[in-house]
Amino acid sequence: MLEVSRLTKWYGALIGIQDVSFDVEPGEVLGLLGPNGSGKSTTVKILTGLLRPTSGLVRLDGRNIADDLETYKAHLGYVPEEPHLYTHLTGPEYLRLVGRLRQIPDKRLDRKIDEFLQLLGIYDDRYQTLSAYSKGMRQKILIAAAVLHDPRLVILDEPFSGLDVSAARLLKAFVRALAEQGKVVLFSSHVLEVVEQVCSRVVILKEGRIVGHDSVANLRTMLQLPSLDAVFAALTAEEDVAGRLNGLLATMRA
Amino acid sequence: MRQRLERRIEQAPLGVLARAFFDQFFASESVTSDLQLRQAMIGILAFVILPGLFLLAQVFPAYQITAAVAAARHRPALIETALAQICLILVTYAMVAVGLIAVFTWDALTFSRRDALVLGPLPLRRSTIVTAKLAALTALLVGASAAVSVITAVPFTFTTVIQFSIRDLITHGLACLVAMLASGLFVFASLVVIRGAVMFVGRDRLAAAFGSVLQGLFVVVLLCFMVQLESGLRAMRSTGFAAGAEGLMPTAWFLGLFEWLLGATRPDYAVLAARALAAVAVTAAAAVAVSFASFRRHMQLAVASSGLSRPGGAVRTTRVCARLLAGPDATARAIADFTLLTLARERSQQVPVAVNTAIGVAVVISALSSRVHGLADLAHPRTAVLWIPLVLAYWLAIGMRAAFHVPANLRAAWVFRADLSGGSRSVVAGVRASLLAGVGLPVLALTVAISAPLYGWRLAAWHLGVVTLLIVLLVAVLTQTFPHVPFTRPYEPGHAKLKTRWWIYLLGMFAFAYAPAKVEVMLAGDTLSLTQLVGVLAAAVLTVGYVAGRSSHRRAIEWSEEESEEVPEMAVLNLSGLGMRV
Ligand SMILES: Nc1ncnc2c1ncn2[C@@H]1O[C@H](COP(=O)(O)OP(=O)(O)O)[C@@H](O)[C@H]1O
Ligand SMILES: [Mg+2]
Repeated sequence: MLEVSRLTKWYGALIGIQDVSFDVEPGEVLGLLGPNGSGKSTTVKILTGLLRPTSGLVRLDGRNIADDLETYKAHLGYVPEEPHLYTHLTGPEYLRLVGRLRQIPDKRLDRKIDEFLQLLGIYDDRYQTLSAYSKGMRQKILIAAAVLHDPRLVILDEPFSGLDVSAARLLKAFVRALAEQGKVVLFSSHVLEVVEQVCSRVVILKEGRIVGHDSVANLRTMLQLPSLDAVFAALTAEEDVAGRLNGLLATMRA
Repeated sequence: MRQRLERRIEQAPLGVLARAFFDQFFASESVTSDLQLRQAMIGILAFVILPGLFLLAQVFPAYQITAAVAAARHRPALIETALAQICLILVTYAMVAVGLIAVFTWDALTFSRRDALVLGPLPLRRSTIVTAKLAALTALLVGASAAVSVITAVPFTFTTVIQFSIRDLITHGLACLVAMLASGLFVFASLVVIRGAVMFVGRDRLAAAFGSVLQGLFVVVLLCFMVQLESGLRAMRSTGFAAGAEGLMPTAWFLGLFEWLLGATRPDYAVLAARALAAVAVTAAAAVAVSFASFRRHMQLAVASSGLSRPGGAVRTTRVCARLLAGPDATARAIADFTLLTLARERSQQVPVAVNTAIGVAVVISALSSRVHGLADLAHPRTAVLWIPLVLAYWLAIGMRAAFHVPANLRAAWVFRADLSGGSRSVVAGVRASLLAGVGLPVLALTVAISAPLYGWRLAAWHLGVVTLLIVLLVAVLTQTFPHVPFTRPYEPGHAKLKTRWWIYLLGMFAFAYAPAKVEVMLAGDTLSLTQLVGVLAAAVLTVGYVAGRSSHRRAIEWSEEESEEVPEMAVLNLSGLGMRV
C-alpha cells in the first residue's frame, strides 16, 4: 500500500502543493484530477522520488521511501508528463538503455522490447531515432519504458496526451488491467472523461490543496450532480467562457 | 513617401532575419541571453586572433633582421623578398583563420530544422530568406577577416615605416589587407559551397560528419601552420619565390595579387593575380548560386530529417567491444552504450573530440617533420614514431572526457535519476568501458599498422603491450575524475580553465607519451628490460584499479536533487568544449 501523508512543497516562495494526503491500495487506480497548475505533477514527482517534499512523507508498505530510495525506485514505473527523451536514440535503443539501467538481462530485455514495439504498433519505426517520432509514438515509448521491468507501482502523469483514439483506448484498458494484476496505480489527468473511464477513486486538487477525495460514484452522489463534469465545475472556479471568448475575438481583430 | 514606407515595411523582415541568422553562428541550441552570445563571439574571436598576435611576435624580429642585413649589404631585393614571404604567411593565416571560423559555424551555414519549422509557415519569399542568410554570412565573413587582417596587417606595415615612405607604407598595408580579405573570402565561399553541395548529395548526417572532420582538419592546419612558421621564417633568408612550382596553390595566387597590387611587373604575378580574382569571383558566385538552388532541399531536409540510424559500421564494433569491457553489470553496459551512441550521433559532443584529436595529430606531425627527414630515419625505433599512438590516445581520451562535460538534452536526463539502479561503481565501469573502447580500438589498430611494417612483429608486439597497458592506466585515471553519467551534467560556467591548466595537459602528454616512448627506444631489443617495463606498468594498472575500486565503492552518485527540476536549458556553445579542455 502507498501512503501519502501531509505532503507540502514550496518552490521558493511559491506554493506547489499543501497538505496533500491519500492512500492507494494494490488493485485500484487512483486518479489525480485538477486543472493546470493545481499540483498534480508536483505530487507525482515527489512520489517518484524526483523531487523532495518540503514536509510530509510517502510510505510504501509502511516504509518511508526516503530511507531507501533506490529499492523503492526499483518497484516503480513512471510515465512523465513531458516526453523528454534522448532523441538521438532509436526506440529500441532507448528502451534498451532503460532496461539495462534496471538490470534486466539482455536476452529477456530484447525479447520484451520487440514484443512491446509490435504490440504498440511502432515496430516498423525501430530504426528511426526518436527525433522522427510523433508525439504519440514517443508517448508509447515512455509507457513501454515505464512497465518494462514489471513494476509493483505505476505512476502516470497525463499519459494519453497525443495518442490517437485506438491507442488511447488500448492503453486505458491496459491501465485498468495493471490494477487488476494487483499493482498500485496512480493516474494524473485534467481530462474528466479519461479519469472517469480509468480510475476507481479520485483525488481532486485545486491550487495545491485537496478539495475532494472519494470514489468516482460517491463524488457524484455526494455533490448530487449528474456527472463528474459538474463536480469539476463545482470544485474549481467557474470560468467566464463567453466573456473571455469575446475578448479573444476582439484582440484578434484589433 | 508612401511608397518608401511600404518598401520599408516590406524590407523589415530581411533585417530581422539577417540579425537572427547572424546570432545563430554563435549560438547553439540554447544560448539564453544576449550576454552569453556576446561572450561567445569574443571567445571565438580570441581563439582565432591569439595565433595572429603570436605570429606578429615571430615575424617582426625576423623582418627587422632581414631589413638590417639588406641595408648593410645594399641589397634592397632582400626586403622585397621578405615582404613577399611575410605576405604569404599572412595570407595563409587569413585563409586558415577564416576557414576555422567557417567550419566552427558549420551547422549555421545552412538552415536548421528550427529555421524551417519557424520560417516555413511564414509568408516569406525565398529570396528574402536566402538574402538574409547571405547577408548574415557576409557579415560574419567581413567581421572575421577584418579582425584577422587588421590586427596583423596594420601593425606590420607600421614596422616597415623605417624603410619606406608614407605612401609606400599605405600601398603596402592596403595591398596586404586586400590580399588577406580576398583569400579569406575565397576560403569562406568555398566552405559555403561545400556545405551546400554535401547537403545536395547526402543527407544531414553526412553533412554533420563532414563538419566534424573539417573542424579537426582546420585545427590541425592552424597548429601545423604555427609550428611550421619557424622553418618558414628561416627560409625567408634564402632567395627566390618559384611562382611556376606553386602556381596551383591558392596561397600563391593571393601573393601574386599582393605583388600585382604593388605594381610588380613580373608577368607571372599578373597571371597569379588574375587567378586569385577569378577564384574569388567564381567561389562567391557559386556560394550565392548554391544557397539559392539548395534552399528548397535544405528546408525539406530540415523538416523531414529522417532520423534514420543505420546500424553497423565502426561504431557498432566499438559498442560491442565496450559492452564486453563493461562486464556483466547491466547498468555499466547501458552507460557505455549510451555514451558511444551519443558521441557517434551528436554534433556538440563530437566537437571537443575532433578538436582534441586534431591537437594530437598536429603534435605528431610537427614532431615527425622536425625529427624524421627521410625513410632511412624510420628504419630503427625513434621516439617521434613510437609515441604516435600514445599521443593520439592521450588527446583522444582528453577529448572524450571533455565531451562528457557537454550536456546532451539535459531534460531527458531524468531517465537516469528515475531508472538507474546500479551505484556509482556501475557508472564508473560504464564510463571506463566506453573510454577503453573508444580510445583503445582505433589506437591499438594504428599501433599495429605503424610498428609492424617498420620494426617487425616482435617489436610491434612489445609496443602493443606497452601501449595497451598505458591506455588502461590513462583511462583508469581519467575515469576517476569523472564519476558521473556522461552528458547529464549542466555545463558549469567558469569551468574553462584554459589559462591556468594548459601546462597540466602538456605535462600529462610528456608523462604519458614522451617518457614511455623514450624509455622504449632506450630498451629496444633488450627483452629482459622490456619485460620489466611491462611488469611495472601492469603493477601500476593493478594499483590504480584497486584504489579506484575502493574509492568508487564509497562514493554515491550525486544528483542535484531539486535543482535539476529547475535547470534551464544551459548554454552549450560549440566552442566551449574546446576552450574547456584545450
Ligand atoms: N519548478 C517550479 N518552480 C516554481 N514553481 C513551480 C515549479 N513547478 C511547478 N510550479 C508551480 O507549482 C504549481 C503546481 O504545478 P504542477 O504540479 O506542475 O501542476 P499540474 O501538474 O497540476 O498542472 C503551479 O502553480 C506551478 O506554477
Ligand atoms: Mg502537470
